[in-house]
Amino acid sequence: MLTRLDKKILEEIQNNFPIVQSPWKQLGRKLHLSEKDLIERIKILQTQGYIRYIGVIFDLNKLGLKSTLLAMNVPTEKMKSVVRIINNYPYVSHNYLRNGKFNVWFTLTARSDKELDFIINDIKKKTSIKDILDLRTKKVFKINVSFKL
Amino acid sequence: MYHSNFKIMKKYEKSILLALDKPLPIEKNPFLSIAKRTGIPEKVLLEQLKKIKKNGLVRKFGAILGHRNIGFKENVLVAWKVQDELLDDIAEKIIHFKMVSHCYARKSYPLWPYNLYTMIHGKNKKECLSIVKKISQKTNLKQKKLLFTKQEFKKTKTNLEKILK
Repeated sequence: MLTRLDKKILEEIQNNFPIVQSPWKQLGRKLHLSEKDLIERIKILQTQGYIRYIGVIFDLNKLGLKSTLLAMNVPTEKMKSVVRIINNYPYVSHNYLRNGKFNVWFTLTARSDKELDFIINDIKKKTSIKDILDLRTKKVFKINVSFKL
Repeated sequence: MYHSNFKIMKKYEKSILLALDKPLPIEKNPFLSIAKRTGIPEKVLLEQLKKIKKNGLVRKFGAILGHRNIGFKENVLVAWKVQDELLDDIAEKIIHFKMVSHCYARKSYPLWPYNLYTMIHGKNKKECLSIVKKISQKTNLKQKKLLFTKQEFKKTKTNLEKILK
């Protein structure tokens, strides 16, 4: 269970992480914790799965990268091998099993639309699955993975 | 870093970008340890990070929390069918919902006519469904597909080093 202090820590590192030489010292001052105690607590919160990542998140769109969401119709008996093939690509960041005829949903990011086409063709060949929807990103309206505690 | 597009980025700009695209070490002086690892001075890393945070190339600097662990145990991807000319207006209404983390327009097909995608988070399935209902009411959208997660096969941060190599 998260204590009140834990929640305060998580809110701060989620929303107000400072760009300075010693960020933990500065955050600690705000939270009335020593730098050492805060670092220890952060490591625990990370091990317990409350923190997934700390660092820089780039705007991939602005960087000039292209992305798409793919929906695949994968028969149950092929599921394991298909998932292994898909997950192996470094271009794939997320992959989920969902309900419905199209049951495998994954995201692809690459340097260009052409490269995306190439990877998708490669996936089709390797998995022998043709029933696949390429839901190419047209516009990003919102990305904000920030949660209220 | 003056260029935001990787295609026209100078080599040293790219090396700074890749140096920063790793989990921040949980240590007293995390940028110093990145500096030691990469040979890029700590001062340069801090200056450039501030700059690219300001110009928007960095969307966020900070922590991504494990949303399941902090209480948002359920999520649903909803694919909506929206008239093309209404996309911007409808999206504008949807992005104000706090529990919508992602909202994208995507290509659609005759057999799959859904063109707007929203990721919705809630404490449980019931809460997710109530947000979906509120969005339907607010936007008058009728046709949609609810895609609940049955299993997570992969969830990582995009690997820039491999993509840009």
